[in-house]
Amino acid sequence: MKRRSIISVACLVMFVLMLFSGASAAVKEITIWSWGAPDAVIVGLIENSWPLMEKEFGVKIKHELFPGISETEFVTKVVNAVRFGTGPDVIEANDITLSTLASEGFLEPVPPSLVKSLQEKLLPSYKNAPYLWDEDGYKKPFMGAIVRDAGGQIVWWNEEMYKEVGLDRSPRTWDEVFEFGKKLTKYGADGLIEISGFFVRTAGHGGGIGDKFTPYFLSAGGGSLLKIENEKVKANFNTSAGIAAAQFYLDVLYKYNIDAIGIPGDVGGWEKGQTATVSARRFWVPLDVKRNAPDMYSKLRAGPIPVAREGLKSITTSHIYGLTVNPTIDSDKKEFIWKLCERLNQFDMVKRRTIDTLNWLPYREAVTEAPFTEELWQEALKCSENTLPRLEAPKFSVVQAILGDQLNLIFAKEKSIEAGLSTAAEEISELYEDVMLKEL
Amino acid sequence: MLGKSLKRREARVAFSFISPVLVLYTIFFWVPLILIVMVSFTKWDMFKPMKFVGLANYYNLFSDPYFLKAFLISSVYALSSVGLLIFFGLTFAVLFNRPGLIPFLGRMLFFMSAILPLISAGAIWVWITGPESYSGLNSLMSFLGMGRGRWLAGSNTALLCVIGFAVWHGTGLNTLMYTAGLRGIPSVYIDAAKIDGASGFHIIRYIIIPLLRPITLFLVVTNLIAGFNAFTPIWFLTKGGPGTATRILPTYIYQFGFNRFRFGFASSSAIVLIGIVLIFTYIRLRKL
Repeated sequence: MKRRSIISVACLVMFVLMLFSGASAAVKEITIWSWGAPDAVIVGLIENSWPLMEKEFGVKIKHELFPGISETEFVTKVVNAVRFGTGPDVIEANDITLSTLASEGFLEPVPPSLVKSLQEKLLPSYKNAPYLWDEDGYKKPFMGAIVRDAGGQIVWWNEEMYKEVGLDRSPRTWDEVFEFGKKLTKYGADGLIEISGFFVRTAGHGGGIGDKFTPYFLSAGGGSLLKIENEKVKANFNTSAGIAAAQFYLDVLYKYNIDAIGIPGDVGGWEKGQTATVSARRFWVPLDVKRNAPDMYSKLRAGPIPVAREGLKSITTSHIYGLTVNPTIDSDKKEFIWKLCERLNQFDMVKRRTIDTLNWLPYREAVTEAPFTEELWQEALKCSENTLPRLEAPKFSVVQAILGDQLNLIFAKEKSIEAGLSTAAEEISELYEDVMLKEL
Repeated sequence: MLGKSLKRREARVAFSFISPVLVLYTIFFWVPLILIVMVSFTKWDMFKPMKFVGLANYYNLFSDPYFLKAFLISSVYALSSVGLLIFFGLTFAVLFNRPGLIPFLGRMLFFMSAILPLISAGAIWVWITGPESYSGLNSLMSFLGMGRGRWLAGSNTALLCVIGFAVWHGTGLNTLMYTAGLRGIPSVYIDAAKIDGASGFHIIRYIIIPLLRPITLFLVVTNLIAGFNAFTPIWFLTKGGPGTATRILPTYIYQFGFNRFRFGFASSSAIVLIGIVLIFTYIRLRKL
């Protein structure tokens, strides 16, 4: 009788244990949050990859998009949701969200086995792109996300417009930007610009202005956004390089009049033939042009970012988009998600998305087939060979917004360059008062 | 005794009916308001704990020339859009307040802009007043043989364009309100005035405008409140630019709060804005 009782209790305990282990292992649903309107890759994930993953892993994937709020609002929402345990399981994030999550201690390092396989897949120039500092500064950087897109910022130019004025390549230096820009810019009878020779981002959301200024002209002019001084992060753009980069914008706008505040730019402006040259950070430009303005695709060419003067190396800063796991969810679910991510990055899946969306360029194995073997893509790849990681510092979005707001005043001639940059520098130093970093 | 307990019971029932609204109002209005007041005395980025800084945010606010500029631009935007809305609203209501197909179509035409969602209306306005050579206004200027303008992108013209948008989008509703008011005026006043030989101008000046005074007051105050609180149209059309040419108080608050995470400072600016709106609300409550 006694033995039977012991066996019964043991069976009961085993049953309960099995029940619990089974419950935690059987992940039924995964939620993912993304900011912004769905681009080609997100559409590719939602329409192609997630159904395959759902079938293979027997899980429901709920991908929620937040297109109606600003990027900083999204970052705040994500960080606070993670903090209070109401966040999603996976965050589909760009460098701004990742850097803020990291600075609040909410970024889960990618497991070592996955890091190894990712490192084998990434193109050499993008190997460092997904690395962040750890909570103790920059002493031991770690991979914080599985890259789904990383693209260095390069120049996209209209070959037909260039040929019309006798040019066969994009400008390589700032002096050439002015020289080429004067030839390319078309003015109406009233002197107003009809077609801008070289688009620079000078208006709109402050964060967006800072976001283009920093990688595009500050870095290309030999400057940098931040520096470490006595283990403190300080602004480093109020230097001669920063002043020169801001002056370059003013010269584009007012001295050479090859662009104007409010002239539609970016890829949309290029597609409509309103600008001869734009800088854009991602490789979806060809796809975007192919979809929205197919007639323009044959005119699209890629070029390197022009440098301040001859002798400087043209560099690009890589923006990354990646998938990261909410560190507060239970470990079994985390493990399950990393496994799913690993599968998502296996060759057949990557290839499928690459061909569908033309956007998985950082993967070595994906760029060996058409259309990536075409001349345009090879040019684009060559121009972004010298890529710096953009995950520069904690609270990165705020830094960009502070700098961008001051640049907005400088470009509208409401403030001098020196006054604007030093106001931004003071504010950023104040922002970093309580942040200690060892090395950048 | 019986009356007193009946009154108490009635009060209890009444309170039970309004309590859901009171709870919601407390959660979504009073609690945030109290929090904003508290946050305005702190330094807070929404991630780290708040740090009490006393009146420092208010001191910094009033010594920031860009805050004073934003206040000035807000006032110009609100006052001029109100003046124009009242003028056009009344004019179109008087013009179209008569039977017939043409007045009916006129009323419909002016009310159309009001029923358009703000963002759709904004997109149309960008197309009309954009700096491109093919924008509506520039095409018209070219057709007339005149020089083009930079309109929304010009530092001298952007504010005029956003005021124009507020007037275009709001005239329909103001016309509708005035039309309702006009229909409430007994025709005997106007008939008597006509018999006495009053001209159309005199009828409007001495009969219609005085009798529409409560509606005018209501529209002035509500339009002023809306003008000072306007955020979506400005953010959509210009994001406060170029430079600070159209940066009104709500965009100033947004930029400091949600772009730069300076929630303490942004809250102190919000308190000032709430103060301005409260003054107009008080006037409205006193006069109505």
